[in-house]
Amino acid sequence: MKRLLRGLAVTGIALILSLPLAFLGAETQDINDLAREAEGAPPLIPHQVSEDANGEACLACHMGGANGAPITPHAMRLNCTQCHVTKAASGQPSVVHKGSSKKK
Amino acid sequence: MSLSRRDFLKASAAAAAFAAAGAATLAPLLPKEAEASEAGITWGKAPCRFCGTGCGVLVGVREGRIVATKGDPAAPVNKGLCCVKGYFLAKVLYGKDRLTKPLIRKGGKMVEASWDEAMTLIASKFKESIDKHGPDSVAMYGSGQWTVFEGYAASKLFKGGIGTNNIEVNARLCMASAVTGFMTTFASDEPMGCYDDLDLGDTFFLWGANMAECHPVLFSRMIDNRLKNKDVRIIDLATRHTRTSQMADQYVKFVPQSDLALLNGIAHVIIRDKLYDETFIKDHVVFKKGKENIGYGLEDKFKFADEAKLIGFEEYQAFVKTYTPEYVEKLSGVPAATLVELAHLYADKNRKVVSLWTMGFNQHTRGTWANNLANNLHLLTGKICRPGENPMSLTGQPSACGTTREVGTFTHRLPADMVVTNPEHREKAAKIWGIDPKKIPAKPTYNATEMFRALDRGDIKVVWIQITNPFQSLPNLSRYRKGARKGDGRFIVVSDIYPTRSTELADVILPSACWVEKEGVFGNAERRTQQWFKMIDPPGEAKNDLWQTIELAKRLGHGSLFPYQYPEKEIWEEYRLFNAGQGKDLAPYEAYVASRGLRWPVIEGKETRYRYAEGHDPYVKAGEGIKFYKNKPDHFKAVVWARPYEPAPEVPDKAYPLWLCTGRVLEHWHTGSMTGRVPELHNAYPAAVCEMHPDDAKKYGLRNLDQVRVSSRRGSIVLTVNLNGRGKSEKGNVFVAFFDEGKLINELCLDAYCPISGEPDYKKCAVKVARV
Repeated sequence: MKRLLRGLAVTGIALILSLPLAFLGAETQDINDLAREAEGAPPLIPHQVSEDANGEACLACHMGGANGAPITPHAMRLNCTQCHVTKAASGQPSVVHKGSSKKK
Repeated sequence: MSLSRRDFLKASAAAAAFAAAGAATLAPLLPKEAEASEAGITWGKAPCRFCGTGCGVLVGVREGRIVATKGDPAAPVNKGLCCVKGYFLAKVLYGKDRLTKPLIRKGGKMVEASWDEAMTLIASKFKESIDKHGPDSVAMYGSGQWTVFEGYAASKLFKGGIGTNNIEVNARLCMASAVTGFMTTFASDEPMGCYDDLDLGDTFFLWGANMAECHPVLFSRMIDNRLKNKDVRIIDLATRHTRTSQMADQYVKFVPQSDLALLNGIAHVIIRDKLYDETFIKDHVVFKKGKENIGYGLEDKFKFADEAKLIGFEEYQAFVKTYTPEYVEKLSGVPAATLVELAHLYADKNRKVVSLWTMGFNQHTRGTWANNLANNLHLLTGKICRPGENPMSLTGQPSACGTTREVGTFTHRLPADMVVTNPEHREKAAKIWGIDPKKIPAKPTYNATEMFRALDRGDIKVVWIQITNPFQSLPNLSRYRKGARKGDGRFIVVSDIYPTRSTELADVILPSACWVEKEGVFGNAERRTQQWFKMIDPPGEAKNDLWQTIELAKRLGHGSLFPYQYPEKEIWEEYRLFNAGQGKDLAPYEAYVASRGLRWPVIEGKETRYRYAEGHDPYVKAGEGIKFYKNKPDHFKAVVWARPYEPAPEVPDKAYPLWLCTGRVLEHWHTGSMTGRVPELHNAYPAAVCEMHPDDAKKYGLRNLDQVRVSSRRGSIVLTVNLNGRGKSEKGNVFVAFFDEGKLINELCLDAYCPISGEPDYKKCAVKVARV
């Protein structure tokens, strides 16, 4: 029973979160509540990605969890790579520039 | 993207969301756990530090340090979404080599100094140069990343105190053509529409704008729109195939510079097939033509003044007659049938058309013309000043609009679209500033490129550079880098937060506060002004640029111009006086504190989504419909300009057979001084590469990942060949991003500029390639 209620609560939260926030007077909402609702940092892509892969390619696994891929926890978006970048650049050598003044 | 796949995805979306919600192991942190991890964090709102989109973010501070940034769900611009750069804002300020102390060049080395020593030296150099060579021997080069306060203070000091129009900004390199486009078409700067057009329109023409990488959050709004509405079409007109092209419904490739012909060609078909809105034209449009063969700004002190002539609709029709689909196909490579199709799409009475552009049109030797021609299409079809139907000029920097354009930090400008050449405007500025109007010089001096030419020649001796990196970003860069270090009285001050290719040429480096280390106001591309408070202290002895400018003012005897106790707010209230009643009204400071920004004009607390339109813009009275009320000389009508195709100044030839285009990538912003120091962003895209077409690579004996020397008549650079990247150059073209401080691609670029706007063309010059 507890698990069912918990599941319903989570679903309910997910549904509420998917409503356009304007309806809830978002601008006047408490900033701490907003911060709690807000999405955190998008995970890096730990695997190789074809440079011209688009959202459909990503969702082939990440929509339904194929191949053990984490299912996208947020509403469907197609421009995945605007937020999710690879851990290392694919198809590029790691170049060290001589004379670069940039320290890291 | 085929329709059926899209439908499948749409249908699955709801299922996916439910599946996600129910999968307990993969659910986001439950409220209690989230609370625990965020204990002790104080949250504040701010616009993002990066591009002109102006996403709202929430900044989390714990123990005096930013520990998190999130998209602000309450921000109308982005509704909680950011791009990768926005998500890493928390790391941007914490690079290891953050500047924390003033540095003075002594004996070829940069030596730490106190603020007093540094400011004393700077003031003395300014005084000396002004005494010896006059006020026009000193200059300020600022930025579309200036807060409104910083830009206003700089303008007031230089124009109203020192008495020189030698103030320019990096926005000259990015938005100037859009400004002159708006001013010549509507007699008022900045778009009449807003981002709501992305949600309400259904036909989006992207012109030379890689929005998926450069305005990703706005691109997402379009994609969201398309997910909900199957009639939405996104057409990507570009010189290279990008992520934007991939996600668009149609990719139309064209030869560089032929955008001028394409725009005229579309107008030609609209006229030919009688698809124009006759009533709208009669009520709201006048036709003009200007000079032709107007040059390219290649000579020092190049001067150009256009001459506008009113023409009739018939003469305009005769003008576009030349641009038949067949002729345009010859110039552009776009099939005649495609051009006709695009024109019919533009004019389709059942479609709400939005045109979007940024640097493809603006960084163009005919940038003003390109902007005019884009506006023409909306005026001819009457698709303007209506929700979902507008030409939308996108902005590159967070406050190119809010600061440089609205405050007017250009050589010829004063706030609120006013100009130094107009005595009434000088009078008004002088009144608000409390100075003698004769103090403000009546003649503009130099645009940005000319300013650095003047430094090279020695006509300018002292330059203060704030929040920008010209010695990486100027075109024909080598000349200007050499010019800065010629000695002979030249003195360069650079205020920045990290060492850059500009600080390395400075005589004094001043450590600056950045973003939420100071209080600020930015204005984004949809006229939304957004405010934020200081949330953390800057590191070490770094100080905000506003303080630095006022400090110099005091030491030059102009302290009386800045009699403020609370400078930010008092400057805001003083600056507001310029805009009041001008169609650019700004609200009192508190209104911006309380909101996620407001789109001007703000009248009685209410923002304006659509300018010039009855029912939206309070300046338009009932019954007036649409009124371009800033264009009194043309009876409040807008101008359709007859602007021809003219070739680029340097085109590929036998010696240099390829076009070079430069631009940005998603992960890095501008010259990469901030993004390059975020490990995740650097690792995702560590170095600039040479993107080229596989056929060209084969022709020149190059394979993927080979080293190639790319050379123009001005400079040469070795890069790695990239054939499999996210962008695919067309045959005869190469593309190199300019963020990499180790690969100064702008050394190859030509410093030709639009004679009307002064904006250089970073998208077209001729190069050759050779295997290394």
